[in-house]
Amino acid sequence: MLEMIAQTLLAGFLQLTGFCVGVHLTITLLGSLYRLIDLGYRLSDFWLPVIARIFLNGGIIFLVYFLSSGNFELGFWVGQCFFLIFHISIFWVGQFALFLLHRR
Amino acid sequence: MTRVVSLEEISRDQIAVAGGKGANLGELIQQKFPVPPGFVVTAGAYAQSVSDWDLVGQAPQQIQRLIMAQRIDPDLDAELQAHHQLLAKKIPREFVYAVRSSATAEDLGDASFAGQHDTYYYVTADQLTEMVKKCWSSLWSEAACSYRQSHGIPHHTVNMAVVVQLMVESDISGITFTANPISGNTDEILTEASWGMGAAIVDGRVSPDQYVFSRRQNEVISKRIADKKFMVPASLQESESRLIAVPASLRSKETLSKNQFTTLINWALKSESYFDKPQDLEWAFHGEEFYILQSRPITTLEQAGDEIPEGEFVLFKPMAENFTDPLLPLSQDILRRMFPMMQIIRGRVYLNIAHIKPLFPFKMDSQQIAQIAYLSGAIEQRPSLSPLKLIGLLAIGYFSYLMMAVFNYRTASLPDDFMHSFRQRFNDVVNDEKIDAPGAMEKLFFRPKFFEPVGNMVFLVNLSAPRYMLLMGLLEKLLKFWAPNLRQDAASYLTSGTEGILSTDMGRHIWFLSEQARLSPIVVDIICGNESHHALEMLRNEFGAVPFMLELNKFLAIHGHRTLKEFELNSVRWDEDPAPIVAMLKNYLQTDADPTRTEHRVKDERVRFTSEVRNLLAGKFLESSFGWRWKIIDALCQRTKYYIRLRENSRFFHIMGFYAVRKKVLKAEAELLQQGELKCKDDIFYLDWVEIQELQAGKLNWLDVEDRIRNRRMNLIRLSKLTPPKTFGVVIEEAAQEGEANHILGQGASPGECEGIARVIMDPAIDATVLPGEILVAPYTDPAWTPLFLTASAAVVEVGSYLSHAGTIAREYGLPCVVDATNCTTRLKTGDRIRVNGSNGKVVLLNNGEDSNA
Repeated sequence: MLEMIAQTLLAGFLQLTGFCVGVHLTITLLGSLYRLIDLGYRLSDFWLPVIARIFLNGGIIFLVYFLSSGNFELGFWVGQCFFLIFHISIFWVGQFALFLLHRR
Repeated sequence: MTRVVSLEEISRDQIAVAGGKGANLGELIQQKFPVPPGFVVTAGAYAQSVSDWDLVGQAPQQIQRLIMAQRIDPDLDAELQAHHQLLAKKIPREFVYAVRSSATAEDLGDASFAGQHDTYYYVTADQLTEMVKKCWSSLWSEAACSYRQSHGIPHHTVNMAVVVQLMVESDISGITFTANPISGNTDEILTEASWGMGAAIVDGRVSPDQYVFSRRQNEVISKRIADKKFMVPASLQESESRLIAVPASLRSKETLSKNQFTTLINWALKSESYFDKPQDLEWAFHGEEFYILQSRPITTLEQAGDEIPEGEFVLFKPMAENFTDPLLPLSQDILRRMFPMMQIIRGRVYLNIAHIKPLFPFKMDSQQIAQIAYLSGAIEQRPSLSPLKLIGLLAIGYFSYLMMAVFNYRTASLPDDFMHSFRQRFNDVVNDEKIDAPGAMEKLFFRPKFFEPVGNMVFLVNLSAPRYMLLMGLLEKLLKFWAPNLRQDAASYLTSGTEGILSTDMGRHIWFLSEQARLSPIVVDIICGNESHHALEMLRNEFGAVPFMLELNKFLAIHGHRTLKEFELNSVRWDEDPAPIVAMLKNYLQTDADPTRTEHRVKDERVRFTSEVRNLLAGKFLESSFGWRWKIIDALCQRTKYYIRLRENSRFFHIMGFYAVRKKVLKAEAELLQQGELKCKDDIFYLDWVEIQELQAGKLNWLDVEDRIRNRRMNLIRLSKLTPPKTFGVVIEEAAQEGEANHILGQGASPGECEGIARVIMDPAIDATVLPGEILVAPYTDPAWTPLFLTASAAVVEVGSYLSHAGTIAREYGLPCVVDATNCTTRLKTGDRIRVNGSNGKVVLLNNGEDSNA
C-alpha cells in the first residue's frame, strides 16, 4: 500500500517536474525564435548568436526528450504542448479583451 | 417709465432696477471708484419687452429664440442712442462698448452667476440693440437655467438688466480676490494678471501671472510669472481672431509694475472696506490709468465634480511625480478608456485600494497598502503572511509569469537601439487616416501583432523592466551579508552611472548644442540677447546660424516628441515649438560650468568605490583564488543597469504615443475650427472624445459645447490651485518632521551631501536658469527638466520617489537628490543656503537669503 502511494507520488512529482521543464524549455525556444524577428533589423551583426541560441535551446529540448522516459517524458510533452497553446491563445484573448474595451 | 439710466444715478440698493452688476458698478461710481462710464438698460425694460412679446410661460429655448426674433421697441432704441450721444460728447474720441448682462439675482453674495450670462465686447453704437437682446436671451440659456434651479431661484423671479459701459482698451487686466478663494485665508490677496483684455483670464483661456500678497507682511509672498501665450487684444483688426499670440518679448515678462500693483491693492482694499466683505474684482490698466470693471463678493468655489467617490484611494504617484496639475478633460477621457482601473478625482489619477488589496499576499490594512502604493518608504510593522492568499497569489503569479515569460525572455538581452523601430510605427499610426485619437493610443500601447519585433511594443517593454527591483534587492542583501560595513546606499551607488539612457543623453545633447552655439558669436548674441521665441525666429533667418540650426534639427529629430508635462495632450512638443530648448541653451551659454568635468569626477568616484568593494570582498574565503563573490555582484550590477536602461528608454519611446494622440486631436481641431464648430484653439482639450465625434458628425454644434468648455476651463483652473491629497478615505502616516522648523524631511533618491544656494524653479519654460553650484528646488520634474540637472549641484523635489525621473537622472549625474520633500517650493526661497543629504532624505535650511543679504 505504502509502496503504491510512494509510486503514485513519485509519478506525480516526475510528471510535474517534466511539465515545468517542458514549459520552461518551450519559453526559451520560442524566445530564441522570436529573436529572428526582434533582431531582424541587425541580423547581419547578430546572425551567429541568434542561430546559436536557437540550436542550443532546440538541442536541449532534443536532449531532454532523448534522455527522458515514462512519467517525466509525459509531463515534459504535456508541458510543451500546454505552453504552446497557452502562448497562442493568450494573444487572441488579449486582442478580444481590447476589442471589448474599445467598444465600451 | 425710464428704461435707460446712467450708471452715475444707480446705487447699490437698486438691484431690482439695474441688476446685481449694474447696482454694484453704480455704487462704485458714486463712491468715486475708477469705473468706466456707461448706462444701464433697466430690468423693467426687459420685463416690459417680455410681457409685450408674450413670452411668459414659454420653454427656455423657445424664449431665447423668440427674443432674438423680435424687434426691440423703437422708443427704447431711441433712449439707448440718446445716452450714447451724451457719452460721446464727454469722450472726444472713437470708442466701443462692453455690453454686460446684469440679472436681478446676480452677484448677491451666495450665488455669483459667474460666466452664466453673456458679455459682449467691441460693440459699436449701431450694434447696441442687438447685443441687448442677446444679453436678455442669455438669461434663458441652458447653463443659466440649471444654475438657478440648483440654487433654488425660481425663473420667473429673475429679470435681466444690461450694463452698457465704455470698453477700456486694456494693456493689462486681471482679477483680484481680497481673500484667498481656495484656502479661505483672509490675510492673502490673490491677483491674476495678463496682457490685453480680461475676458481671456475670466474664461480661463490664458495662464496669467499670479501674485499672493500678505496683508500682515505687507508684501508679495508668492509670485509666479507665467508663459502667457495668448491674449485678447484691446482692438480687433479685420480678419483677426479674438485670441491672438502674445508678442514674443512679452510672453515671459512680468505684467504688473510695482506701482501698478500698489495701485491695484489699494483699490481692492478700499472696495473690500466699503462693501464690508471680501471682494472679487475685475480690473484693467490702460497705460497707468486704473479701472475697476467689476467688484462683487467672493462666493463659494465648491462645484460639481468635487464629489469624492465612496471608497479608499491613493494618488497614482508615477503620474503625479511628473506633473502636479489636474488632467484636462480630453486627457482624462483617453486615459480612462485605456486604463479603466484608474480613478480620476478632481482631475488627478488615483488608485482604488480595493482593487490593489487582493494583490498583496500579506494581512495588511488599507493604510499600509496606501503607504506602499504611494511609494513612501517601508512600513513600520512587518505584516504577517496570509497562507490562503499566498496560495491564490502563487497561482496568479504563475499565470502572470506564463503570460509574460516569452516577452521577458525576448527583452532580457537586446542591443540599445532595438526600440528605434518604434519611430516608424509611430509615423505609420500618425499617417493612417483611419486611426482616430483613442485608436492611436491603443495601437501604440497595447495592440502588438503576433510576429512583430519587440522594439515596437515599448509600453510592454516598460512593464517588463521593473525586474531590476528584484535584482537590486538581491544585490543589497548580498552586499550587506558579505560587506556589512559598506555605506547604506552601496547597491544604488554601484548601479548608478548607466550609459545609454536616452533622457540623460538628451541633457548632454543640449549641452553639446550650446557648445555648437559658442562656435558662432552671432548665434550666442541672438540667444543671449533675446527672448527665446524671438531668438528662434532670428536664428531661422540668420545665414550665420545655419550650422547651428542643422544641429538643432538633428536634436529635434531624436527628442522632438518631448516636452514639459508630456502626459498632457495639450502640451506643445519641442518639435512644434523648440523655444524652450533655446531658453535652456541661454542658461548654459550664460554660465562657465563644464558638466563633463563633474561627470568625470563622479565616474572616478564610482570607480574608486568599486575598487573599495572588491578589496573588502578580497579578504573573504576563496575570493582571492576565484573572485566568485565579486563576479556575482558585478553580474547583478550589470543586469540591474540593463533593466534600468530598459525602463527609462522604453518610457522615452512610449511617450511618443501621447504625441501621436495629440497629432490626431490637432487634426480634428483644425477641421472643426475650419467648419466653425470650434472657435478657439485649445478648446478641444476641454471636450471628451465622444463630444468631439458628435461635433464632427454635426450632432452637436458650437452653441452646445461653448458653456461646457467655459465651465470646464474654470473648474480646471480652480482644481489646479488645490493641492491634491495623497489619499481619500485613508490616512498615510507622514514622516516625522523632527519638530525643527529648518528641516524638511523627504526620501533620499540619490546619495551624497551638498551645501549650496537654493534656486526655486516652478516652470522651466519660464525660468530655465540654474547657476553652477546652485541647488535646484522644484515641484516635480520630467525629462524637460533634465538640462537643469547639468548645472545644479543637488536637487530637492516636492513629489517623487526613488524611481522617479528626478531620482534616476540625479543618480546618473551623481547629484544628491531628495524627493517627496513636502512644500519645499514654498518653504525654501531662491537665495536660501541649504544642505541636502540625498542618503537620509534631509534638507536643512542653514540661513535664508534675506539673512545673508543683510
